[in-house]
Amino acid sequence: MDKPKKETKITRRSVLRDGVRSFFVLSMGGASGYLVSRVQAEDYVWQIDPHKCISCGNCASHCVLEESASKCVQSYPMCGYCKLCTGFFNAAPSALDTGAENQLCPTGAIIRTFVEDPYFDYTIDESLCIGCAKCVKWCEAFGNASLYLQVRHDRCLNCNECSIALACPADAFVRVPKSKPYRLKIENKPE
Amino acid sequence: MNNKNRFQFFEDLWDSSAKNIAVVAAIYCILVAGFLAYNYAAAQSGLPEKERIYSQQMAEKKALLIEDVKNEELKSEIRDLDLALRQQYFERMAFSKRGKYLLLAGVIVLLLALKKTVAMQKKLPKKRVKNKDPLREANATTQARQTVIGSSIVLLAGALALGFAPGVDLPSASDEAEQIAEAAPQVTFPTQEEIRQNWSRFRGPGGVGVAHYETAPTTWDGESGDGIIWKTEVLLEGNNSPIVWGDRLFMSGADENTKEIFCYSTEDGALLWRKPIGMVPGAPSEEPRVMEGTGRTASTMATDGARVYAIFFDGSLVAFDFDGNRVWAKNLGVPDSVYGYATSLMCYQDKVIVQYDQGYEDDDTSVLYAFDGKTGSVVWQTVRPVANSWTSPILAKTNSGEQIITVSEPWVIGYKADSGEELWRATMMGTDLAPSPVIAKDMAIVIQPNEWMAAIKTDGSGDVTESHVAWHVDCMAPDIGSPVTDGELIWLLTTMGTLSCHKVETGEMLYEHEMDDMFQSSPVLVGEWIYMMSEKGKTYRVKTTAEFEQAEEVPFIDEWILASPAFTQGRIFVRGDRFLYCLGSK
Repeated sequence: MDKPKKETKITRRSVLRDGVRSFFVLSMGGASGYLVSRVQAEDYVWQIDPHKCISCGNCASHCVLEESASKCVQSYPMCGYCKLCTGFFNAAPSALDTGAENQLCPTGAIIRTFVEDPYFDYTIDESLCIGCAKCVKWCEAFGNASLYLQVRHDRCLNCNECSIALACPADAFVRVPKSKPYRLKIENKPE
Repeated sequence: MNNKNRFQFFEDLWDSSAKNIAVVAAIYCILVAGFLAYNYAAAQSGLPEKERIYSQQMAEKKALLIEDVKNEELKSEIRDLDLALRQQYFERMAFSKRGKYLLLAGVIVLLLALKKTVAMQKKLPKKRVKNKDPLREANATTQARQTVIGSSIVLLAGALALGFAPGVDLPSASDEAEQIAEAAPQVTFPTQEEIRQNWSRFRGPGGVGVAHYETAPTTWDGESGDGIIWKTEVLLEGNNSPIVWGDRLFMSGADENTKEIFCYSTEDGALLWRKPIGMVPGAPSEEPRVMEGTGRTASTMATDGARVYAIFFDGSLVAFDFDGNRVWAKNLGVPDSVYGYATSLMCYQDKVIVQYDQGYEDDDTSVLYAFDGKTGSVVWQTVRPVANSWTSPILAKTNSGEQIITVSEPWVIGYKADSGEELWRATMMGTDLAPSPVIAKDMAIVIQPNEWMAAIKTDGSGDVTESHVAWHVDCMAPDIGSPVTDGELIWLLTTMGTLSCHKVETGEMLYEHEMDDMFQSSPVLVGEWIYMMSEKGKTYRVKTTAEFEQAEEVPFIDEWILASPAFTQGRIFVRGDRFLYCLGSK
């Protein structure tokens, strides 16, 4: 014979008791979730260490994207604003103007703007930059090394296995915390 | 023609021309895909021919300009050439983007046409409509023919237009591939017998904690040195277990300054080499946070007999040859794991398999990788719908072929070992998983720490949660150690020292025994004995019988033991926190 079922009454006390229990359970759940989130490893993203980069040009050809996520950036506090910028002009310019025959950049991505004699401002048009690092190489060779490459995070897919990192001969591709996604040269001078 | 008739007309037209459109769309897709592949190869192998010619011309003209700096005509030519060169370059970039959309459109048309063609074949013959206009029917046939011809022309024209891409240097890529193929050594990987004779990964052959010998050393004494062939200092801390191949023993270690691999002689314990793993492309510039209990090198190495592989807490995966030369290294990204990364590596043929579980079940960050042992290139990879875990994969020989079986939250998944293709999956696992699975009677036996054990038949496909779970029993399930089985019985050992024995067939418990010790290393089965090493360095041996029968405890030494021991013929290798031991008869 089946055991008679105990009748369950909903009383004010039981509602209150259940409410308090639920509150504690939810609080414990919330606290656990918070603690777990605190011990999560911080997200990392790819970035180029500009002090290790040797301007080999692999960034332009090894990115999984058609147009590389590595772009040249200009550190304006470091720039000499030179009239003869070795990152802008080829080795033997016929004149110090923006004629194509004088420019080093294969896609004309560096914009030269007159400031006051003898100073010029050099800005990167990222839509044209292909990350070939020619300007970086020559800026470093004869200038202040204010032009350098950085992975632009609005483009980078943050691949688990970055193709450029694998091809980088200088091990300059590193993972950096997402909270500090860029390695700005002015802030990261080698000791 | 009213709207209804017009609709009927187009439907008839579509019906009669679907098959032909499918054929044309297929040709179109192949052409577009071919052009895209051609374009990709061009980008990979250097400048396409036209750009290269322009570049050469540019270089020549610039050289001339140096000699004749005032030649305005030459400057003008250079500027025109520069513009053309840039246009060529950006056109090539845009080509890929356009091509993808064109290919997508072609595939959609192909699928629709195929669907219609298949549907048409299934249809019963239509009844002739009495009042159907024969003239309109004839018109529809003509229109259908014209539509096919017209669409063929349009599609082919589109494909040919795409073909006006700059020239490509395909031969160089294939030549290079041939050269690499010629230079590469013959593919060799160890035989089953060699794998059985060695201890090539965490928990030995297959990763199930069973040694393929009948006997192993039974007595030793840390104090007097009896039964200890050699001992040598552990040079860097690490929670990984030693692995053995032939006369070499490998293990890894790390601290905040270095990550290293160690190679010892199994004969006398001599350190043959120690190698820092060096710079790894993509390794984080700042050390990720480490949970002390897990450490930097919780993952046990693996070897295929030619190279050894190790993975570290920051996602750096490295391969070294037996002489200590680094073969390749890569970083898989810092694993997003609550407790840190602890899954061990395994080899399958000449590939190294990495169960890279991280994050949460729905974020698609967990991946099962197979890397080519020689080059480190990805042979296959399968995204896993699971969260981070500590478990290691096992290689199981089942009636349906060799499978890699994995346990993570919430899925137990079986994969084809040679391709990574998912075979079956069962949703049942909760969080905080450490014990790895074992295989018995064609069933994967899995553990939910502190809660239950279950057996899943491995011959299913798709989601087998409802159909292939053979049994599920609540029990004293270990939270760290993995189970061990002789095919008929299963033994579970908890951290708190509870050993329980169950039937493989049903999961029914046969006995439970409390031991006055704590265990983190996993038990190993040798012949008719199960070896269990406690945290304090004592070894317990229990007979593989349905009734509890224990041999005399073997006092070890004052060592803290977390790693699982490695067994080879007549020897046991134990990693303590201070020394590495070789036990056996001298």
